[in-house]
Order: sequence, then C-alpha cells, then structure tokens
Amino acid sequence: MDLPLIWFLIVAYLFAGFFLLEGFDYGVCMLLPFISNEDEHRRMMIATISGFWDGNEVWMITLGAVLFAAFPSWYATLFSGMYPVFVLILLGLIVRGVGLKFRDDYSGHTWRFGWDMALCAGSVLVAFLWGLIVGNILRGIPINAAFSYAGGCRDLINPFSVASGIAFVALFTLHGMVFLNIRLTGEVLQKAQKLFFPVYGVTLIIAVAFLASAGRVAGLFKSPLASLFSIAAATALLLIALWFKRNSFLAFWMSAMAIVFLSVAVFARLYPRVLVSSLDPQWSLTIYNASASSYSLKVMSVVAIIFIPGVLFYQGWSYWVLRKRIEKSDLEY
Amino acid sequence: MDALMLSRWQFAVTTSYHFLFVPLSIGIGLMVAIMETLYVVRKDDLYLRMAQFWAKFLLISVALGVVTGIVLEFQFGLNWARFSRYIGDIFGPPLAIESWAAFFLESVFIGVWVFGGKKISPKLHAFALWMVTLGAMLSAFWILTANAFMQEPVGYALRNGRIELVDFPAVVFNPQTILEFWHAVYACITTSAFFVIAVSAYHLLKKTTEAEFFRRSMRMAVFLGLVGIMGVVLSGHEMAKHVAFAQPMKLAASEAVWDKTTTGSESVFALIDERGKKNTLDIRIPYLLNFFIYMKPTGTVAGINDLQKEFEAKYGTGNYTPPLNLTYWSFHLMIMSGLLMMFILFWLMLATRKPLVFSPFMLKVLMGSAILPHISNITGWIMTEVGRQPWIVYTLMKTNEGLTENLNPAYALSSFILFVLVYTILIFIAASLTLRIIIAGPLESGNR
Repeated sequence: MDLPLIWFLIVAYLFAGFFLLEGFDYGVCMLLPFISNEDEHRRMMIATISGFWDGNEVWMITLGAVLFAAFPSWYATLFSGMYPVFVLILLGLIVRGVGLKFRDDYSGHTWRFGWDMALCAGSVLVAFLWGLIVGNILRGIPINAAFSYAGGCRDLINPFSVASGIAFVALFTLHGMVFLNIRLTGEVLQKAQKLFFPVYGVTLIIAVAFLASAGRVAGLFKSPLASLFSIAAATALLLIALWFKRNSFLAFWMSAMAIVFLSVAVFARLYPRVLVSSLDPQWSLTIYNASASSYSLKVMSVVAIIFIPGVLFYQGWSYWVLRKRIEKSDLEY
Repeated sequence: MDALMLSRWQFAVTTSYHFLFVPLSIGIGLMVAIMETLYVVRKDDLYLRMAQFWAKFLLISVALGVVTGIVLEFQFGLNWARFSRYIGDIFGPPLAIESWAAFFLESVFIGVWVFGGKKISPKLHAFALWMVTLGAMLSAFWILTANAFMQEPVGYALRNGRIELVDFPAVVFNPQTILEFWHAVYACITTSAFFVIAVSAYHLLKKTTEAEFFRRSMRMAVFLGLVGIMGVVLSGHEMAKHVAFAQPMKLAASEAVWDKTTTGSESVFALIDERGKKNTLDIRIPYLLNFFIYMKPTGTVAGINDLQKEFEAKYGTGNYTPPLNLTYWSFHLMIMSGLLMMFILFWLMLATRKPLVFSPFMLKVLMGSAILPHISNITGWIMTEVGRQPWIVYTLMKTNEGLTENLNPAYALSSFILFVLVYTILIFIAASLTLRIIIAGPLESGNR
C-alpha cells in the first residue's frame, strides 16, 4: 500500500473539512458588524456558531498535528518558512477564541461592539492568511536543495498569493452568509438576506478571477482532475443563487461543496508535491521525500481508522442536537 | 539576545501561560462533572447550582487553554524546525492522537454541554461533561507521551539522519510517560481543589448567605485536594527515584551534588557558585536523599563533576551541566510549596469538624493558598525542562541544534514581544472576569 499517498489524502480531507467548517465560523464573524447594529441580533448571529466553532477549530489543530506526524519535513518547512504568516494567524485565532468567550461577559456597548470589530478583523486576517498560504504552496516558494525555505517575507507576497487570500475571505464570507441563512430566524435573518446578493456577486467575480489566475500562474488546469473539480466548484457556486431563497439547506450544501471541490482541485494539482520549490523542481517537497517512516505511518493509519469515523459520528451528532434555528428566546440574560 | 535564546524564552513563557489554565480546566472539569452526577443521582438542586457556578471558571480556563495551546503546536514548526524534522516521526504521532482522540472529544462535547442544556436529558448532559474531562485528561496523556520521549528516548532507531519510530508501545508505556501523567493529573486536581477552597473561603469570610453551598464545595475540594496532593507526593517520589537513573545529571543539579557521594544527603538550602564549581552555602540533611532514592541509608549518588566527565567521554567536549541555580531552586520551590499545601490540607482536615467551621485567620490563609499549586506547577516544569539542558532530546539532540535553520532574529523578537503582550492582556481580562464572578457569587436558583 502506498502509505504516503493515503496520508496525503487524509491531509487533503482535513484541509477540506477545516475550510468547510471553519469557513462559516470565520464568515459569520466577518459579517458580524455589517448585518445589524442591534446587540441582540449580533448575539443571535454568534449563537449560530457558538456550539460548533470550538469543535470546528480542532480540524485545523488536527491538521497541524497530522502534518507533523505524517510529513515532518512539510510541517517544519511550511511553518518555519512562513513564520510571520503563522504568527499572525495565531494572533487572529487568539482574538477569535477569547472574543467569542469574553464578548458577552460584560454588557457595555463599547466592549461588545469593540469585540465584534476584533472578531471580524481576526477572522478576515486568518482567512486571508490561509488563502495566502495555499496560494504560495500552489505557486511555489523558494526552497533550497536542503528542502528548507530560502526566501524572505517578501517572497510570500505576490499578486497571486494576495488574490488567493482575497478569494478565501470572499468565499468564507459567502459561506457564512448561507450558514446564517439556515440558522437564523426573524428580523436578523431578513437583514442578513438583504446582504446576500451583493456578497454573492462580489464573491462570484473574485472566485472566477482566482480560478483563472490559478490556471495561469499555478497551472491548475494542467491536471485533468483539478480542472474537473474547479468546474464542479464553479457550478456549485452558481447553484447557490438558485436555491438561496427557496431551499436554504441546499444552498448551504452547494457552498460547502464549492469549498470542498476547490480544496480537492488544489491538492489534485499539487500531487505528488506538497511544497513546490520555485528555484528548482528537483527541490520540491513531495509526499515521498517529506513523509514519516512507514512504521510510523502504519501506526497512524490504525489511529485514523478508529478516530476518523468516531469523530465524524459524534461531531455530526452534536450538530444534530443543536440543529434548531436560533430564536430570540434562545439568548440568555 | 540571539534567535536561540529568544525562541527558548518564547517557548518557556508561552508554555507557562498555557499551564496556568490547563490544570484548572482538567481539575475543575472533574469537580463539576462530579457535582452534576451527584445532582442527577440525588436530585438535590444545590449540586446543580454548584455545578453551574464552578463551571463558569471551567469555561474561562478552557477558552484560554485552547488559544494558548494552539500557539504551542505551531511553535515546534516555527522556531524548532530542525527539531521537528529530526524527531517528527516519533513526536508527531502523539500530537496527532492528542488532537483526534482528545481535543475533538473536549471541544465537541463542551459545545453540547454549554449550548445543549434544554435539548438533552440531564443524564446525557452530565455524560457530556465527563467526555470533556476525559478529553482533557487524554490530551494530557498524549502530550506528556511526547514530552517523555524528549526526557527519555525509547522505542526509536537512528535512520535516514533522523529519529524513527520502531516500537510504538514502548513510547506510550515509557515509564517516564506514566510517571509524568500521574504526577501532572494529581497536580491538576490539587490546583483546582485549592482554587475552589480559596473562593469558598472568601465567601465564608464574607458571611455569605450561601454558607451551605460553599461548605459543601469546600468539603469536596478538601477531599479531592487530599487525594491530589497524596498522589502528587507519591508519584513525585517515584519520579525522583526514576530520574536518579534515567537523568542523573538532573538529580545532581536539583540537589547541588558536585562529587560522587555515598552519604546521600538532602540539600535544604544551597547557594551554588556555577563558575567556581562549588556551593557557597549548603545546608544538608545526611542520608535523607539516599532514603528517598534507595529507601535505605546506603547508596551512591553521582555528582555533577563526574557526570560532566562521563558525558564528555561519551558525546565529545562540551558543557553538559544544566543551569544549576535555576534547576536547584525551581526544584526546591516546587517541593516547599507542595509541602505547604500538604500541611494546609492536613490542618484543614484535623482542625475542623462537621459542619466545617473556620476562624477568619484560617480563611485568609486559605484564600492566599490558591497561589501555591501554580508555583509548584510552573517550577516543576522549569526543573524538568531546564534540568534536561543542554539537550532538547536527551542524549540525542542539543537544544541549539533543534532551532530553525537561518531563523531571522527579528522574527523571533517580534513574535516573542507580541505573545508576551497579548498574553498579558489576556491574563488581565481573565483575572478581572474571574474576580467578578467570584464576587458576584452563585445564582439564586439553578436555571435549567
């Protein structure tokens, strides 16, 4: 069995799951200051994710740990090479984590609305930077013969990686919007729906522009599989508009699928590389030269067989338990 | 400071902050789970109100434990890339298992527990909290498995220029893992017990109308505190015996022993002249150390000088002695503060009868004692990690060899300043919120 390939697929699965789940968490926070100026409405918006976001974030934490375990060199070169990017992501995650906890612990208007801005800014920052990272992985970064990062901070900022960052922010905002559409009720739902078409229009343009530039800069369409999934992602995006008003649940699934398909396209294009070297194709990290030993991967495979279904089961159950739309009466104090 | 020292400081500071919250989230989680179970079994509303009040502190510590924890996971790659490449094959799996087996359990069920209140049965609600606590404890186990390998490498082979895993059960059942786990879990229980005792003492001192609420909380905390501190002492004792053989340099440094000795005396107060290689002041109790290690007066304890020579013969010239005063004093502060806690708990047990009655002086002492477990927790980790120096992975990799290649010192400096700044703000907010909840006291009636 090709263990590195299996673990490459598991990493892709975790990336896709992370973007799918945290995508709407980030999106809801990004929309927080823009939908309503009433504290009660904002609390309802936060309540749509408050039972879930912690568990969703573990997808990202697991992703980091699995990279470390299955592809130590990938983990080490990615994190050390993009040092400032990851430090800023940590800052954004800290702001989000404590903001969601502390926002409602004091009742002052400045306190709460200040946190709303911080939650929005932190989420935009994290979403943008993950987009920047994915863009750079696709496009290639200066990696030397020793498989370590040989560039500086500026090498990470280029038109394509910035475009990728913007595309992530846009996609997650839209994803947050369709999530709110299945979770809210009453006045705040109507207010949110009013913003849908502007958000949708902008996101669609950005997403198409991103796909086009990914084709040009990163050769996304050189891989048939990546092309196929890019088209599927674009189709799913188009279908959101069709169902947003009529079937909010289908609209959400389309948005979710768009994110998953896009992740698949990225990984299909990357395979078998995991970090592309812009200096020499020979120096790219691949699933074979970056992977852990086969014994280690075997141990990890046993772990994955047990916990992937187990976690999916009880996390799915938690969504089922907390599935009811948020109403005013759900808010405490 | 260079990138190496900055990275070491950053890791030390961010881990210490993290470990202010983790023990509380494990221990208070356990207590609240017990309270809620008692409510389900005995249908006594007071237990529900107790669970709801103490859970507020659980939520604060979990929130801060999570955000400060992610920083640690990323930091191995950020500042310690060569370490990560070298050891990832063994160090990564426990971290991945920690996420899959523990963090998901903790995070998903805490969501259900906090927000599913009216949607699930009381039994399921209590079960959810047990899952949160189980997750927290499992996470401690797996992260300590990774740490234990750095203290005592087992089940590995040096291949392909790195450490590769060859025996996974050996890594998991590393004696060091088991000892660290019990020592840490009991410490977490003790820490939380002292927190609950201190908060209860405050309210009893204020002549609260909720006397029964806080007496009952205090009684449970004293019981768990006694269990915790006895566990800490016994596992700590086993650990010392183990370290004497597994990491003799750490023991010699903790006890300020320069030369091989057969009288095995326990040092109670020493000032160490690290350059002059002698103790300027040293008060010792003869044979006591031998008793601790061998359970009898006879036995040999290797000294720093002998071990330094031994290491040089094995691993080449270099300094194999950890910072001595820091190791010695963190070890001794840990012990002193631990003994003080044990004394306070015994005193509480003996000096009070049912129903618990305390003098105001006693209550004030109890309020102040909440700091003691934190002193022991942090100094214990300092002793463990600093006492292992100069190794990052004992006998296999030195700390400076683990640093990210070409790490830009400006990056290391900015991130260090950023984390210290952000964490200080966090501590401030968390502390003021905690105080506010303490002062407000429990709700009049349980809301369910």
